[in-house]
Amino acid sequence: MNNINDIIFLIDDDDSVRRSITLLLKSEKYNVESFKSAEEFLGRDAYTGTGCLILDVNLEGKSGLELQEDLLKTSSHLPIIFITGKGDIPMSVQALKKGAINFLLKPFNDNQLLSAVEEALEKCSFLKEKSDEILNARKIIEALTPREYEIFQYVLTGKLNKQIASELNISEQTVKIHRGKITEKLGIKSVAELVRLSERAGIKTPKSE
Amino acid sequence: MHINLKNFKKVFFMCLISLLLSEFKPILAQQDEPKNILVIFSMNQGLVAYQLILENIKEVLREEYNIPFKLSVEYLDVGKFPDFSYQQFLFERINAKYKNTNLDLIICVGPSIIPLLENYAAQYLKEIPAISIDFRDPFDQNKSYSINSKTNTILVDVDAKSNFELAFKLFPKNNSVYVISGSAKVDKFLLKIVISASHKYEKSKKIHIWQDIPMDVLLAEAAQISEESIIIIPSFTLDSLGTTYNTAEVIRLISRKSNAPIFVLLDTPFDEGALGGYVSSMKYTGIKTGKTAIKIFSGVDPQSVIVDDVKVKKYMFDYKELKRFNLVNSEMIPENSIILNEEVDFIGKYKWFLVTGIVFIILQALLIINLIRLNKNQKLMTQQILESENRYRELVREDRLQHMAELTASLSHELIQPLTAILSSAQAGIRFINSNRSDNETIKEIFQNIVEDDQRAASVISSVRSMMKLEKREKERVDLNELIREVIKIFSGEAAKQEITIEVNLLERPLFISADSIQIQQVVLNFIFNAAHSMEDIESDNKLILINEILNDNSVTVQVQDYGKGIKEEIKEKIFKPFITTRSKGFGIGLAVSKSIIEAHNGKISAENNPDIGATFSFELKLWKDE
Repeated sequence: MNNINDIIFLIDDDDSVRRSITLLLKSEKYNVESFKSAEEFLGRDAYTGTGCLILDVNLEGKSGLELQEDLLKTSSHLPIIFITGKGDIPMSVQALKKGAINFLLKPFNDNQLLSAVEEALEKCSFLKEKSDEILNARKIIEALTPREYEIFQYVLTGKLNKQIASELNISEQTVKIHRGKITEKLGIKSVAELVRLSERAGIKTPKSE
Repeated sequence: MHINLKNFKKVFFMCLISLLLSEFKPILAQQDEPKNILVIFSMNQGLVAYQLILENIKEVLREEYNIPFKLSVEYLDVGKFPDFSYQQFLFERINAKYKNTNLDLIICVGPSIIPLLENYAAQYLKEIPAISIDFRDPFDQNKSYSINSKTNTILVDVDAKSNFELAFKLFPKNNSVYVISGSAKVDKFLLKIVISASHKYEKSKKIHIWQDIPMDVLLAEAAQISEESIIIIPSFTLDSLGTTYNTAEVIRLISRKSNAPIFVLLDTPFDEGALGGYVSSMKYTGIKTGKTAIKIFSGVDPQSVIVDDVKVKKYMFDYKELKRFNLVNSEMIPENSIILNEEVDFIGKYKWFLVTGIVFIILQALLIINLIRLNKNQKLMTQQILESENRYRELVREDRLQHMAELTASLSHELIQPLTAILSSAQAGIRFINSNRSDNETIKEIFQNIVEDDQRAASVISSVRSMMKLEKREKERVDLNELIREVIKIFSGEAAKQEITIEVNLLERPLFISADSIQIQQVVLNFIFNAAHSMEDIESDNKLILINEILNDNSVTVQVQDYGKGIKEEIKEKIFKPFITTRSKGFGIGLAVSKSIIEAHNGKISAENNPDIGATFSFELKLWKDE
């Protein structure tokens, strides 16, 4: 059930811990990449594939929580499993609020870690799927000319050609030609389908007056 | 007087000789014949008057006359037994008794003794020098008081008149006078004197004369005497029934029945109840007699001996009675009165003893108060010391607890890493085996990891344990310099290997401190190891460790200076906390242990980066008290 492309990133400053967790994950055939520090991880090429991050909270240099903050600012969709030697509830609450999958106290059982990893990977593939859709939708919409995009937005509000023409101060015939181009580029004819696509691409539908 | 040198010399030598001989004086005195004295009393032995006379004669002779004397006494008791044949018998006995005694003096004490001697005494007795003592009889001018031409007469006058005057002066309001007398010849004689003096007052006062009464009747009657009366008792030696009494005894009995003041004519009855009077003193009669005897012994003609420095008549009062009649400090009491039985005025008599005593007591009390205060202060101080000690201990304990809490947190964190690793490795191993994908290499690697991680955990524990062991080590007087030199010797091998130069600047004289030398050496070694480690990556030419010693007022500071990496800014604050390290090896416990050691020695530890390069670690310890 493991996606062979999934990579599990492990960041812990303790050599022994890194070594043993890597072994554990490998026993379940996961691909593991381990790092000594947050800085070392950030030095790696940006990863767009699926996987998850096992992150020690108390790292030398940039801490685990700081790395989480940084990653939230990027488009990274890697779910984070925090591990820590210090049971610190406020810290774990903060981490989980910001979207961490789990917060594991060392020493943890193999099942705890592996199920957390599984959960994280599932979430990741879901997120990946979603983000792929968005990217596709955006790619399609990005093909429109600015004029076409303008008219596309009017269409989304459910306005008729006549209304659009008068609002843009152009002829109804011109609006028709642009709509035809839009239908041709997006491959979608119905207004309903257009709305769905725009939502997928994260474009808000302008409110109709 | 002119004394020439020759005479002076003579006198001087005589004095010297007499001084030398003075040692033998008692022997010389003993060689003197004792003076034989015979005292004959005409009445019975129990009379107080006789006792007073006799005692005082002897006392004077003893005190004022240094020739020993032998005194014999005869009581004739003829007052009660006036029978002639008895008197004759008595003198036959006396005559025979003293026939072979060389009598030097006869003292005859009356009343009326001279006729007896004249009639019955042997001739030899009559020829001995004599002193005759008797009352002067104012009613018989021709009465003879001498037995021979060698008789000195001491006549005792009885002054009743002065007694009346005294009584009325002291008690002007007391109008009744009771004169109470016994039935003996001497009693009646004295009564007669009183009666003759009383005539003068017969008109102004009511005079009662009580005589020839049996004692029981007398006492019954006495009870009727009101306190506004005056009682005069001249003498009472025999009641009408023939019982012998003492005047003192009678006065005592009457005073118990009546509250009236009792006046007396003689000093014999002062015992209980007699207020006083202008008395003829038997005591002073005795004294006068003694002095007269001495003069006679010294060869003066007895008839011409006059002792006029002893007055027989005196105003005498009993203090208790004066007090009873509120007359103690009365101006009515004549000056020079003799007060008998004076209550010991304790405060007056022992004033200086009292003052001294009180002063002493006050001083002692002050001393005691001071001592108590001192003691209290000391207790307070001791308590304060104890309190501050306890406080100090508490602080130390709290500090240690804090330390322990930190240590425990660090320790658990330090142990969690290897424990996590061990658990994960072992579980990974199980999974590999279960998955049938295991190869020996992987399994071996896993076990290898487990062993290493376990060893790591164990070493964490042992390093903590070594830190715990710091406490309860004996401190002793050690030379800090000696101790540092030993450490450098220990490290010299390592220093050579790492190509480190160690430069030591120690004071030449020993610096004694109170310390556990092993622990202090541990600190120094730790500093040196840290210094060496910080210089691992620099060129060997620059590898230098400087050890300096700075002597303060009562402490010494040891600095270990290196030229290495210095202390990282982020760990500067917590460099002495456990498990803080920048090294790949070790657990960062060395400096924490060092801190514990120095603090256990009441010292200070510090770490600072040098202005240019490297860091300096130092500790400061108190010098041995006498240093």
